[in-house]
Amino acid sequence: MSEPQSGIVDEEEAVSRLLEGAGARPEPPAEDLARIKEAFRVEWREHVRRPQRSARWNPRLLALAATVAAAVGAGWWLWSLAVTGTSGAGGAAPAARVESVAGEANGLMPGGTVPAGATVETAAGVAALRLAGGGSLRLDEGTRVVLVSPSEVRLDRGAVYLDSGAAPGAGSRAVEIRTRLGVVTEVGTQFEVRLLEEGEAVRVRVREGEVRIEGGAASASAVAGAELTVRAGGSVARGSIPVHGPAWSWTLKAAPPLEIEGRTLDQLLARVARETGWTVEYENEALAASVGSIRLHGDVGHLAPDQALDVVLPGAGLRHRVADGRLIVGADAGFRTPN
Amino acid sequence: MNDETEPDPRLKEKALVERMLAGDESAMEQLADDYFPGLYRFALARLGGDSELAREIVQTTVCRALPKLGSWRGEAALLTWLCACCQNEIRMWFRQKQRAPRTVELEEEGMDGFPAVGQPDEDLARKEEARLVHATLDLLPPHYARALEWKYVERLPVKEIAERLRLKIKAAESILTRARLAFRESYDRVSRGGGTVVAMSAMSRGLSEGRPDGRRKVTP
Repeated sequence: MSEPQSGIVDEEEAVSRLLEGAGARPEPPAEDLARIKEAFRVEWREHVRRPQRSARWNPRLLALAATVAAAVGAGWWLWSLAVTGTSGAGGAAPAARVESVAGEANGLMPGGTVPAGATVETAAGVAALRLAGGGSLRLDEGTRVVLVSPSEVRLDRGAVYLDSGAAPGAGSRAVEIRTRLGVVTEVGTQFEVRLLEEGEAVRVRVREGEVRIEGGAASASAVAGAELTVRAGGSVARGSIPVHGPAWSWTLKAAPPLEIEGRTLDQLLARVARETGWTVEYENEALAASVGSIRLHGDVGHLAPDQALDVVLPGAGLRHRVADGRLIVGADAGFRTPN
Repeated sequence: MNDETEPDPRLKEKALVERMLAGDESAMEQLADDYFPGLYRFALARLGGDSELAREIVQTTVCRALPKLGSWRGEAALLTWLCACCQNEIRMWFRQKQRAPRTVELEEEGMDGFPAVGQPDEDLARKEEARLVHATLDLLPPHYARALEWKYVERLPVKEIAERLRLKIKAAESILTRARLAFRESYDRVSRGGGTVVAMSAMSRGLSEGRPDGRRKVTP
């Protein structure tokens, strides 16, 4: 021991006094602990078994099951979300990984991989895939896509949203969304492509960056805040769309869960801003300077990014409001600037 | 009997979690026995002593935390991490019910339901101190906390503590020394700086873990 003996005695006396004065910690009711433990045990067994039971989805089995379901007819609803292999998909390199699924999710498991060539369908649910090239591809309800490759997605039905990342284009290949009416190519962006009118029209809404649509019907490009609708006859209608608000709410529902453990608050706010289209503002400069030093712990379950703020910010002594696409963060009276 | 060398408590926690996730039932039992009581006390103090609700919320917390334990990086102590998850569950519960917690302002009350210091009543002050001590014990590695209680509350001789810990006497003495230091550090941290309000607030945000870079740690 390097400490002087008297220091040890003083320290021991102090600890002894505190502990003796406090007594033993109160034991929670044994029945409550037993019930918690039993529930945890059941969950744990399920968790431990899960990898052997479902492991990675098997495209062939899913295809077979989907076929059977279709044959039965009444069983179609079982496959509200499904991934099916296509010929030649077996053994193909993964084109994407399933990040999250909201809604009924038979057949599409978070953590599963989707090989190039596979068809992914949603019915009553929404899903988020992480493309092998890094982009986030969200699928709305009632959508069917074929992941031809990590950079090529064929949209057969419904709508997809692509977020190619905050710093797109750096060495990564632009993602193409192919439709019957043309190919939509991103130039580092966030956008939605939706088939309308029984597939007779395609609408592109751009939230960030720029996209180009080229095809037999028409060629056009759009930038952030613009919307293009291309019809089979070749007509192109242009309009504007706010980059935040209800038009994008399904993409929030489909967003992968927020991982906050170990992140700083400014990282979380940047992610929320990206998902919502909001811009972040602070009530004062000192607060703006301090958010990078506030480290977060825990998790926010499956709360959507905008909802997560209601849980996270009060814990940091902060509050927020949203006005006209601006997320305004302020400090409560008890907030202390980190050292 | 083990010798004096003891792995870093955080590494022990990581190993315990890894064993449990790999399917070791004894690890699952140990984790539940070591951490659930402290988590329950944490929840109970924040829920105004409503034991039924505390049970429900702790049960939800641990079941939801299980699949995420694989991503727990050990940066915060396991109980701190679980408390952070529990705190989120509590917030979400109140949010879903669309009402404020029954207790007084959480920031003032803090993790363990302590009223602010400065109450004239001595008895109340003693109770506050006791709860602070108990919360500090809960944040220590479980065998540190048990060793301290055996030594200073139950007044067991070191020989018996060594037997209970399945250690040699010298190793048990070493554990007690480290446990005292860890206790003092933790206790000082939550007690210092502007009185109990700040300390408890900090604790409720997972500040029980010091960071060499001085960065602030907050749990939602």
